[in-house]
Amino acid sequence: MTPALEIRGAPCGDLQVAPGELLAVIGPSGAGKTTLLREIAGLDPLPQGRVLLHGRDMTAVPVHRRGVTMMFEVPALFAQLDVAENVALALPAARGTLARDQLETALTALDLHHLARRRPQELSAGQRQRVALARALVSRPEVLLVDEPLAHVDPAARVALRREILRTHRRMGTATLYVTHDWAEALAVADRLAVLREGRFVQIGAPQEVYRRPRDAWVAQRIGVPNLLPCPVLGTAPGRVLVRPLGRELWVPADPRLADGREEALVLAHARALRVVAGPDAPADELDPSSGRILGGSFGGDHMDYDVETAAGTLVVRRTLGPGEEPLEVGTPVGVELVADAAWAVVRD
Amino acid sequence: MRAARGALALALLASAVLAVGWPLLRILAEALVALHAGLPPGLGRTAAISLALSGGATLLALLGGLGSALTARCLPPRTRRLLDAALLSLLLVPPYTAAAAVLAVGGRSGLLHDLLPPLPGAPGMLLALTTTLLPYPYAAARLAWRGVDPRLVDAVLVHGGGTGRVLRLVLLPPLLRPVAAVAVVMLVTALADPSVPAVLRGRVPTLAHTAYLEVMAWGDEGTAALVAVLLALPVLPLLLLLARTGSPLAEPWRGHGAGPALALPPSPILRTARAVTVLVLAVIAALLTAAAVRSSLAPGELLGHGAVAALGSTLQHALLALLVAVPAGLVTAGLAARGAPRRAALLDGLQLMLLVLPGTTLGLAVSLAYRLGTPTPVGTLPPLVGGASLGSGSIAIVLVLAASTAPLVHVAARAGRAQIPRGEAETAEVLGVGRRRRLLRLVLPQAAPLVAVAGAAILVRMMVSVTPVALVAAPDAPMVPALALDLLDRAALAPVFVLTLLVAITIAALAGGAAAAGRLR
Repeated sequence: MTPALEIRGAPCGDLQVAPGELLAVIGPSGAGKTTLLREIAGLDPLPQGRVLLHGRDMTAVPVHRRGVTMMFEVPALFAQLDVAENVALALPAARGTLARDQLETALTALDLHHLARRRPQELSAGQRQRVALARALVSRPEVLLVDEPLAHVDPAARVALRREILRTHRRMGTATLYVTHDWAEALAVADRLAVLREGRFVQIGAPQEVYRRPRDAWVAQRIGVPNLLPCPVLGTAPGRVLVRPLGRELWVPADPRLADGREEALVLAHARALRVVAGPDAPADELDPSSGRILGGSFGGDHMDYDVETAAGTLVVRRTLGPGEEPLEVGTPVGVELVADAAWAVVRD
Repeated sequence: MRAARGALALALLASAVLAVGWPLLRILAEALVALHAGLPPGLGRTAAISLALSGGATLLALLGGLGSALTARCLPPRTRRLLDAALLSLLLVPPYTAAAAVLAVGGRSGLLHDLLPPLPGAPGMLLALTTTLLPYPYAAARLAWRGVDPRLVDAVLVHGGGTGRVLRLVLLPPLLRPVAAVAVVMLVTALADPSVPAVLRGRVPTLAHTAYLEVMAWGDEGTAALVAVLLALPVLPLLLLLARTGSPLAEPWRGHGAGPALALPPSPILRTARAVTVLVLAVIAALLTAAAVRSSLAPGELLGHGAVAALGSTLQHALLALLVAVPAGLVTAGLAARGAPRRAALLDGLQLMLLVLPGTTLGLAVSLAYRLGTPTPVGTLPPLVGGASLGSGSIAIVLVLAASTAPLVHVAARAGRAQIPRGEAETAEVLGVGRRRRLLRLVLPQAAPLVAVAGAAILVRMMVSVTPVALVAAPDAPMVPALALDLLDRAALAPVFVLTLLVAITIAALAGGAAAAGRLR
């Protein structure tokens, strides 16, 4: 199938977005996310390479003829126009019946009918972004580019708007490139994730894959993996390495690049890949590498994330709270165990 | 203490209103008497010709200025600065110098005499007036477009809009009110300028020149007053606009910085704007070259002792007037900022009325009201030291210059205050920073650059305008514009070009000094 959007030979690397797919581009501030969107839209020139839409080369086509629309970080609504006029702006023939139908559909889809005659300055931040989304989608573009749409929306409205964007995307099936620096947001909305570092894609894959199998320590830290344990490689097997984190030898799923005889690995463990052992099961010997002491914790509703001081450094360990269970007190001696299948070993740079 | 200061400020304000209001009432009365006696023959035709000429020059200047401003906004900042310099330096060129340059291009012994139709008469006046008016819409558009949000332009483009839609939705809305106001100011300026017709009129009569001749040559003050009041009539729509919507003249000052070049798709609109810009630059280059050639070929001494004396005297009067106008403008701006909205509107209205009042009207009004032996509601004006009256000589010159320039200080100070971010102002108040410290640390640093720019503009206006100065001048106070008109009467173009160059250098040096002082703050 021909991709809806394709970038070939660009400095960032190659990228394809399938029809109806939502691909989230994630990276820290200054990684080049917005620049990439502007280059695809045609607002800025692509330094090298080509942009193809449904197989057609659009690199030299001016921005207003590309068939790509963009939703910006700020809504960029026109103060002198009301909501309906702002949305209708994206329609080529605003007086036709078809255009009126499209406008009606967009206003209904985003629940904006009751706000149609209001001016942007009379709307909340979330409502303004909904108008911007309606404007971006009203012309049924081939590709939609979305640039950090939730950055200036308050947390309560953010969840609702994110759901709205997803729902509208699924209903309209527009290929979407969604830029954000918020990993939780990217994981929640994306069919696939592309991780951008200093203007280059360093990993592209399904959200689960990127979350569970980050390519390196940099990606792991960006997606919030709190525990990075350097270990010597003691042995290798297909897809796994033998390492000794926290004093116990374990076969941990590993990056294939570790099979080429590297001596050092970095074991990445989400908080839930570590288990805290308290009470009589905790190691009695303080010299045991798996033993530690609770430094503090944060309450997460049905679980606690503990900071545990160990010989390997301070680890973040998640423990699900049973009914009526009280959190462990600061200073409690505990043991920490790694769940091998929930961890992931990568090359240590 | 505070109440006493307020009372003193109000008393000063009342005196200023009386000092300027009385002449306006006087000229109105004189005009009504003249009207009662019947309209002078040919006045209607003269008015129609004047209106057509001024309207035409205003339209052409709007086209040239706005087209060039659009071209400039799409240029990278460095090239944009060059275009700014080329067009804004026209502010330093008085209308009579532009008229002399037109003569140097297309007059009887002009540089392009053989290639062009005869320029003296209506075409020449149109060209000279258009050239001097060009910087007004250009500056208004450049200032208004400083605040344009490039993200709005991006939003139009990514939703399929072209340059036309960008113009309609993004560039025109912030431009409409300032340009409407500037257009009225341009029309009034063109209508009220007697110096261009004095050089180029041929057989074409104009209102401003008629008023000038009535006073200077024939002494018919009634007709002159009537014409001067007629000249002020186009100001009324502007005053109504100001009364309804606040000051559009203050708005364009509130920019956000120069900003990158706007990247608009190619379109006929942009191509036309570029063509207009090239034409404007070609006209400026032709006038400049002709002036330079004429100056280099001129025989004998270019500037005599009289020119140096006039330059010194003009500068002296301009600086004296600034000493009156700057505090007056700052006081009214301060009173307007602290008072109720109605008081602010009244003060803004009074100042802006003075700002847009034609120089001919103001000069004649002061001359009629304060000359020796004039009856006033409190008796006949006594003569001043040496038998001089307020109606002639230094005092009157300083008075008319201050009256016509204080409003610009007022507008600049108001705009400077408006530029202070609300957060900063409220933080200062919450932290208990006193009014004096707020004024010194917050208001002045924000307002100073604008007041300095306004000061430079004021100097230009003072040093080169024929009216109101020529209508109240006396032999003991030689002024540059009067001397220039005298030289042009004798067809001596080259000394006028050199005089203008000297004035421009003086003003540029003073403005540069003011800007440097502002930066040092």
